[in-house]
Amino acid sequence: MADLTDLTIKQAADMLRAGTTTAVELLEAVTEQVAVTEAELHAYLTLDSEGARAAAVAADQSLARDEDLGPLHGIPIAVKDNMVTMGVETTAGSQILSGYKPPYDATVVSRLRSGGAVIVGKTNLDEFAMGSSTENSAYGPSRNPWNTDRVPGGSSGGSAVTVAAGSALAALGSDTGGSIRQPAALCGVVGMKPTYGLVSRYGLIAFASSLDQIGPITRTVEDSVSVLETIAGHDRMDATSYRGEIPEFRSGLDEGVSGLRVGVVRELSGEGIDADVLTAFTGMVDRLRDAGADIVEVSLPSTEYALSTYYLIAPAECSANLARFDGVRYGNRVDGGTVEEMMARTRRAGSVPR
Amino acid sequence: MPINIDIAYVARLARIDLSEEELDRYRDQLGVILDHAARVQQLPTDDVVPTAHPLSMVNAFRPDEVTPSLERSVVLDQAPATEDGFIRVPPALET
Repeated sequence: MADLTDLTIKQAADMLRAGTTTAVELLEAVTEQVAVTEAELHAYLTLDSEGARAAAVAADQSLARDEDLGPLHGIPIAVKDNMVTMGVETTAGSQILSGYKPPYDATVVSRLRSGGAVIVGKTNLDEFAMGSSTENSAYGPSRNPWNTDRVPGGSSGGSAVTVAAGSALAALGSDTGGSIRQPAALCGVVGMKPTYGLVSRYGLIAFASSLDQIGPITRTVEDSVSVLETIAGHDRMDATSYRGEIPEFRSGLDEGVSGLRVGVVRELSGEGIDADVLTAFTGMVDRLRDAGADIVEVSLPSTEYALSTYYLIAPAECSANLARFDGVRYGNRVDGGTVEEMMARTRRAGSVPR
Repeated sequence: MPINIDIAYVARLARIDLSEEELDRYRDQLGVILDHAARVQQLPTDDVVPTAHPLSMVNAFRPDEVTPSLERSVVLDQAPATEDGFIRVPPALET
C-alpha cells in the first residue's frame, strides 16, 4: 500500500469512499510521521491528539452511514496557531498567550469541522505572524524538510512544513504580506492567498486587518480548491466578508493553462532578485508559455514604493490589533502596583525583543 | 528628514517596559519607518481613489438580532484574575 502520508487530499478522499482506508488510519499514519519528524522539523506547537482521534472516528462513522460532508471529510489537516480553536491552546507563536485556551472556534475552524476534516494540531509561526522565516517564534524555529539547515519561510512556516513532510495532508495558513505564498514556495507545496473578503477572519488573531487573509497550503492545485471551497463564503462575524456568490473553482481544473493570460510584472522580474531565483522564475514563465499560456508583460510603476507602503500600513494596523494583549482579559499577566505598570510589565515579559 | 523621537514617551504610550538599550534600538527602527513615510509622501496620489476593499462592497449592515453570547464563566476562566464574576486589575487611579 502506498504511504498514506504521501497522498493528496483527492487520493485520500477516493480511498476513504472506496473503503480502502479510514480516517483513523490516515490520522495514525500522519501521527506516526509526526513522531518521526517533529524533533527535527518542529512544525507543530500543539497536537490535539484527543480531538483529532474523536474527529477521525466521527468521520468514519458518518462515511459508513453514507453521509458525505465534502472533499475534506476524514482528511487530516493542520491549522496555523493564530487561528483560535476551542479548548485547544492557541498562542500565535507568542509567550504572552502561552496556555491560552480559546472559548470559541474561528469560522475557518468550524467550517473545517463541519466539513468532516480532522484537525491534527496547531502549527508554528513567526510571533503574531510577523516574519518570513518562522525563526521569530517564541517557541523556537521550524526547519525546512528538504534541507534542515534552511528555513521553511514564514510566517506560515509550520503549516508549509506539515504539508511537505507528510505530517498533515493539507494546512491552513494566513497571509498578510506573503505569509502563505512564500513558505509554500520555499517548501515546494501549493499556497494561495484568496481575494480579500473571500474567507472570514473571525477568530484569526489579527496582524494587519486590511491585508490579512486565510488560505490553503496543499500538495496540488486541486487540493487547494477543496480547502478553499470549504472555508470560503460569507460570515456575518467578519464585516469585510464578501456577500456575493462565491465562484465555482473546480470546473477549470482539467483545462490546463492554454489560452490563460498570465501577467509578468516587469518591476518584479529583474533587478534585486537572486540569480537562481530569477532562473527558476523565467523557467516557469517559459513552461507556462510552452503550455499555451498567453504571457503578457505588465508594468506597475509604483512598485518601488510597495515595501515602504507595507511598512507603514502593517505596523500601524498591528499596533492597534496587538493593543488587546495587555494582561487584562486573557493571556499571561505580570502584576504591578497600578494597571499601567501591570500592562507594561506584562508586555515586557510576554514579547521577545528584536 | 531627521525627526527627534522621544522614544521613552512612545514606549509609555504603548505601555511597555523597555531597557535603555532597547529604547535606543527602537528609536533607530522607528526612524527608519518614518523615512519610509517620507518616501511614500513623495508619491503623487491626488488622482488615486482610496481602496478599502478590492471587491465592490460598501456597508456591511445586518439585522440587529439578539443572540446568546459566550458563557460568562467560560470567558472569565481565561482571565488572569477575577473577583465576584468580574475581571480584576490593579488600581487605575491613585487614591
